[in-house]
Amino acid sequence: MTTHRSVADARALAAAPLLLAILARERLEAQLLTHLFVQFPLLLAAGALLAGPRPPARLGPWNRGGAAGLALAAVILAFWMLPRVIDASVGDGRFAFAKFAALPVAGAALACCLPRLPWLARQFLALQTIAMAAAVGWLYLALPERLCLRYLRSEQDELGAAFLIVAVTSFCVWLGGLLRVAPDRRAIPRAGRPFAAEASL
Amino acid sequence: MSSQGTGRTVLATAAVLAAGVGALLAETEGLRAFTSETARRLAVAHAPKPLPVVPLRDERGERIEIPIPGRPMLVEFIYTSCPTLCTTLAASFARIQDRLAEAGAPPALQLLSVSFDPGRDDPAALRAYAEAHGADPARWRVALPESGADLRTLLEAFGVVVIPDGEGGFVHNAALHLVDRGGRLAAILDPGEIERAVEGLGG
Repeated sequence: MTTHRSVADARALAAAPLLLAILARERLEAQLLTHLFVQFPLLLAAGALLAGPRPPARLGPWNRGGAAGLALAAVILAFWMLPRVIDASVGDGRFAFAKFAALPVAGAALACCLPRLPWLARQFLALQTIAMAAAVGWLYLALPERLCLRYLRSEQDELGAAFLIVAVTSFCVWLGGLLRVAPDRRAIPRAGRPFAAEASL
Repeated sequence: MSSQGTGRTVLATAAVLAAGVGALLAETEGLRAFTSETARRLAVAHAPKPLPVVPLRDERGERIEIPIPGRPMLVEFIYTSCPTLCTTLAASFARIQDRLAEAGAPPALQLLSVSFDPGRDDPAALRAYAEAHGADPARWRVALPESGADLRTLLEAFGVVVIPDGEGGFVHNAALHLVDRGGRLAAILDPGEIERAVEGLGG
């Protein structure tokens, strides 16, 4: 009962980030940094709140360990971070609409699939994501050309620096978490068993 | 049951990744175009793009309509108070103008600098720009689209994006746009590609 209510509450709450992302669209998309670091997370959060932590049961056999859902989230995020797609999502209504639909789907997939991923795979994914964020940040800073026609070169630099800061901070948080977990020897093998989370399905 | 579930998951993940890679390949023209600028250049190189007829007013107040049927042209987009990119574009046009004259090409309007700054670029500003860069009106004119709607049509047709630079000026994608005899956008060249530009004009 309580769980049902909290899921319903979370779903109602999803309207807030979604509305904010839609209503403040022009302002958020006016700068590259707020476009990617505020609007994107708002849309992901809306999807995450809407979906809740459990994937639909009928998808279980197709999504063991959350693998398929996480692949979907990765693909959606990679696509919407292409410079020409970022440009299109500002200048082309069809792309804008597709972005507002796709990113919540990625958020939903992340929310319900990440907890299902085995511990070791989650660590690998975290490191991979951090490395990607660092590489993207470096690229945005190092490439001499302006990658997005709708944004200034200086905004590209800001975004690059933000990606690097996020990568370094995330790495520190990840390392801290790892050091905290490591002394609890029982935790690793238990959570590390392949598809352990499936047992709860 | 367990191995069946694993098999389905592998299948679903592979399908998602394949669809994703397909979308990425399609959107980047086979990993060649990650930016809008590269994409628009590849698109016209692959298939020249028909252009709408747009009226402009040049530095002498004369009306011009582009594209001019049967005449290859180069079009660049500028604003006359631009201190950087537009100067490079104007320098390219000046060199191309010289090359055409040296090659004995008959004098004909083949070079057009289009201003996207109607707020500041009145005919006097266009004239000053043309004179400062040595434009010979027989070959090279500096013009402003007749209305805001014409300007938007032109920018959209050529794929030029103009944004404020935050300091009273603009940032824009700078290139030499080659319009072929059929009135189609046939190539988008870097300002330094003088030879290709002259060749494209038939000089």
